[in-house]
Amino acid sequence: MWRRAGAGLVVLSGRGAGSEVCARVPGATTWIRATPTALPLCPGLPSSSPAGFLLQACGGLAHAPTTPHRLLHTTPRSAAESDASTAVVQAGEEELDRLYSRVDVECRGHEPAVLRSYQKFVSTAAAHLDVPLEGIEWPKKHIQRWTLLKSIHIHKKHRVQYEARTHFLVMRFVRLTSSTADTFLEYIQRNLPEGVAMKVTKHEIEKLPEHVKPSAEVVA
Amino acid sequence: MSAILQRFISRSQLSLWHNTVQWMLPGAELRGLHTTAIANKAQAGRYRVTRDRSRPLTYEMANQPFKIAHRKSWNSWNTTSLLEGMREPETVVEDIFIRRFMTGTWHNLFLSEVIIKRQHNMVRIAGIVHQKINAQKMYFLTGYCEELLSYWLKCPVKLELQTVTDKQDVIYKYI
Repeated sequence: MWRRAGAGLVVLSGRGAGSEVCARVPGATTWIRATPTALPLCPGLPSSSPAGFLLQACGGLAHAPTTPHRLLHTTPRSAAESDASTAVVQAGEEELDRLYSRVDVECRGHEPAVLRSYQKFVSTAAAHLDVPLEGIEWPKKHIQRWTLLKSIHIHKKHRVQYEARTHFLVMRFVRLTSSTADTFLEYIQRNLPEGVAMKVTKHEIEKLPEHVKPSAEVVA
Repeated sequence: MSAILQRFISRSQLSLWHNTVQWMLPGAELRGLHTTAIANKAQAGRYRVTRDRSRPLTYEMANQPFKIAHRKSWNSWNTTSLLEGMREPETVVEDIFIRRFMTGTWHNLFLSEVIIKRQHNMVRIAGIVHQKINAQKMYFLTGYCEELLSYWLKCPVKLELQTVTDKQDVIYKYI
């Protein structure tokens, strides 16, 4: 699943709604300001509640700080705030969190300095929010080159060469639940710099289906 | 004999000789030198030096295209030219349109290039503007540009303009 800064994501806010998304500029200290219901908060997870509180503290949100009890309260979601990452929590019908053994975040950019700065930001955020970051890799860059004719007519011996370099950054998070992953990824993606693309690969752990059982010989 | 002559005569003299030959001897065989035009020069993004050093250049104009990624950065920031980047031609055409629209709406007010940054589905337009008109007109133009561009491009458009009182502030050198 691709989530890139250039292509379309869910429209996170409209201008008239009173909420804004301020993207992070390296070096500046603008933080996100989001409406309360846009932040996914999952009940009963120690890793996500600090995330929720930290985001509120940093964001300077207008609403009162939520207590753990509020996390279980059902809030009917309006059509305006559509966030694909939140799980609807109904009283009495809990949709269970999905478990991810690994979440790979691959970032691509033209400039290694921008990627390095973004990696620093993500590592610091993961450290503060107790999101286990297992490894950071820097795969080899990919260079695409063109050799074109310099002149519009004849002059075959005179050419001009262009190249486009793509640098990669892979960050590996382990042992996450879907709500933690969604919250953290949303925070990361809101602060993705322009010109940097992100690809997220989630490796989910599922229960074996009922009909798949070890044979009687093995069991006995 | 004429071939040997051609080799030792300079180019300008040769053309004069050719011209004289043409009207003096109408049936003369013209065996001219064939040379290609000098095609190894580059002239993109370079400004001609004036005699009295009166042409003002901004920092961006002063640094030539080969200095991009060294002393200069790009005017358009998007992910279209990355590996497996999507929607490159449409983005380029949109950028051209945005630049024309901005320089046209803000009459002679833009002192720098129009910088276009794309993040998620937002388009952020930045630049340095001269404070020739009053603030109310600037606010109107900002709202007008944001509204119309967002309808045209079908995505949120935000203008992040900086203003400067004096034009001399953006001039880097004179050539």
